[in-house]
Amino acid sequence: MFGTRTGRGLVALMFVASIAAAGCGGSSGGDKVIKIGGLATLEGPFAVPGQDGFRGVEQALNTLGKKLDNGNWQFEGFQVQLLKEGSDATPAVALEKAKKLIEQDNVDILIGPLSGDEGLAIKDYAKTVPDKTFVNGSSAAQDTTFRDAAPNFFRFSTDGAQWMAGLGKYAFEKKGYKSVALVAEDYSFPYTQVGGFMYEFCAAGGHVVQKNWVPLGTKDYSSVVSNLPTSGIDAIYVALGGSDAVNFFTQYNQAGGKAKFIGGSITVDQSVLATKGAFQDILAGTIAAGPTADTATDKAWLDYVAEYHKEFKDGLPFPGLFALSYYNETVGVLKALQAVKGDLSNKQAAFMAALAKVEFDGPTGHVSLDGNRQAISSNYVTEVQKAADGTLQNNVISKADGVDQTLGLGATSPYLAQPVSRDFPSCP
Amino acid sequence: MTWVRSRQGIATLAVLVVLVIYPQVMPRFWVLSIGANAMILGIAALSLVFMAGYGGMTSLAQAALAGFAAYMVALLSLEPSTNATGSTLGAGLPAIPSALIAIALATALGALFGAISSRSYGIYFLMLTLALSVGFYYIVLQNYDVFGGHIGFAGIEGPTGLPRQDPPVFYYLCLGTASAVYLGLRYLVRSQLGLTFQGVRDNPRRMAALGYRVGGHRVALFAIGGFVAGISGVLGAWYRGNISPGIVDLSRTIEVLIVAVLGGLGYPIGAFVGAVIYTLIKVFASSITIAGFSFDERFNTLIGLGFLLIVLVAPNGIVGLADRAFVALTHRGGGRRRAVDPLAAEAGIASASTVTAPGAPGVPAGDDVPSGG
Repeated sequence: MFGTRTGRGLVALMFVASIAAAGCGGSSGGDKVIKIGGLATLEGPFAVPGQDGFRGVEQALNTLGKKLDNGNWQFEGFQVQLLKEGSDATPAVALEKAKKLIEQDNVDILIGPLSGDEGLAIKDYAKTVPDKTFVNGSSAAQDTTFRDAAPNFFRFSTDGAQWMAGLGKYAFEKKGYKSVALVAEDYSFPYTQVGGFMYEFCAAGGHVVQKNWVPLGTKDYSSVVSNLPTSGIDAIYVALGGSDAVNFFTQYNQAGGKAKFIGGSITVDQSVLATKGAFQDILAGTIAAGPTADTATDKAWLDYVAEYHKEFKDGLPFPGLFALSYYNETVGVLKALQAVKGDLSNKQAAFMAALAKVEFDGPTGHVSLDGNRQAISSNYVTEVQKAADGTLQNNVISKADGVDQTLGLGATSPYLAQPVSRDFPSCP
Repeated sequence: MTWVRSRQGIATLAVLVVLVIYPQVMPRFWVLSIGANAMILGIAALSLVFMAGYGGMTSLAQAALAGFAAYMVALLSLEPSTNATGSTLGAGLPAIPSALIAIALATALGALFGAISSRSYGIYFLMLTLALSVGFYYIVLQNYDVFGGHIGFAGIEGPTGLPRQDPPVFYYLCLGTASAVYLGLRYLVRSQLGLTFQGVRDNPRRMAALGYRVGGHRVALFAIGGFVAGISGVLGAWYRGNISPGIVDLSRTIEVLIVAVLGGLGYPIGAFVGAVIYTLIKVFASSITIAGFSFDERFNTLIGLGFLLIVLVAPNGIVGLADRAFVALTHRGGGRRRAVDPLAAEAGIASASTVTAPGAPGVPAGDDVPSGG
């Protein structure tokens, strides 16, 4: 069967492979080295956000530690080594990369992943490796921490529902939107965003009369646009990201649509506002919400942005919510490591206990964890307005501090009785 | 020739011993993420190599067929539960019966795909199977009632439980299955049916004139391709424990093709060699630093460059290259290469009258290509 030649080839291959494995040893030094694995999307639709996520990790390491010539960061009594892996926003690849970091590279702590469904897969994997610590990146699905949580999974970033805090109320009370239709991508993160918006909007008395779910990466929205009601709605809630959002706004504008918009957290960010096109005229007045606001004036935020620009010449005009999420996660990890002086013995028990207690003032506000190891932090409501020079920008309308995962409804609220999905919550 | 035989026997034995000892001495990551993973990918690639080499059908639907079997095994083995859209799914069958039914269904779907596409040849066959594959991807992506939409299913367990609970056992399951599939296909191509497949590949018109049903044989070949891909899909579902549309998307389809081409489209054993190499490159590309330039954010560039290099240097794949080197070494100066049936050559026999050089599968020879209508 395996002829001589192929047989030899296989043996040689395994020999080479085992040498390669032996060659991947750790570095030696005075202090012990703690390995942190970083996981973000570096290909596919979220490649640019993934790079920004890693900027957040490095900025946190640079701020709290001192970069050494060997590429590690020096802390008091220990060093931190960062190993990066990239996924493509699918759970299958994220899982493979996480296994590689944990089982092959032997990292002690994993920071990541970036996208919603990836986070759900990593949480399930975390349960099978109880002696390692998993800290979220920027993935924002609700059930990564809210239901069936893993005891060794921590999230210092807020979830997609928390990113909507304040928006539903503002839309109903201040803007006077009573009934809306929605267009959103069809996976766990937009479900969570839609859920967060509807918790407040439905509770205030609003109606979501129609839901349109489209696959991630949809380019042709003609059937969605023609399906949207032309009368009887006050606004359209749009939870699409990047090029999906640009395509939708363009085609809606071309079809002569005139409705007002309510945006998700990544719908009307700088990448969309800066894209040239006739659709820009219909975006003014769009309200949205999220954990960052470009034009916030808090000192901590301004310092953080200045540091970001100093360190990353190729960075984005403003660090987005991906950079901020990864930054906050990494700060949480490093503060806990400092508290236990790098002690990861006893299956990281002391470290995990310290991690659950970490509190700090981040660039946008105070960050602490709840009983599910989920962040309680601040959120902004913003509105797109035309600046003096004619460009569009997101201006801060209000900021809420101490937003928890239930948006103040409490865990027993009927709105939280079921996981968010295409059909829940519902208030037609 | 006896010494060749015995040397072949020794080498085969040595490889087998290495493969059997491997999970006992290697860490879990190498047993599962490299070993078992490569064998699962290798079986999928083998289904393509078999169809391309013995039927001239370079199918791009193999990842979809594997994915279909994975979805079926999930639906059959998961406990019944009500999903978000209100429909109750899951038959709650034990792992082995679910696997057998799933593979049978994949075989049937392969036959259906064959019925749709087997009348076309070359680029048209490629496009039809690609369309079927992409179509299947969008069905599972957007169908929430049966396929669970973007999220898919989690919690699938094989007969040995979760792979990570006992890595060697799952590895041996993969090794045993891969060997059985390989030996089974080797037996098949030496049988009368296998020779008929090759006749249909090389000269469909003459075979039709001899009274063989060309269309039926091509459908049957596709069904066998579906059967083998289905086995890979079931093992893959057990290995990952979950399935989502990501396992049948375009990049997975291309992955199977890359593995087959890497190993050598004309060499069945090449499917496994290609799978091992591809898995190693994919896993370690992000850890490689060349001349101070780290590929951690550009690992796909490295994979692409490696693939380009292999295709340029070894158009018949790694095994083709090794084969050529072996011939050059043993027949010093001769260099005249017997045109043999590769799978039969691996099996130690030269094929009968049909003579096809490996590396040229995909299109039936010469003027016998049926033209439209």
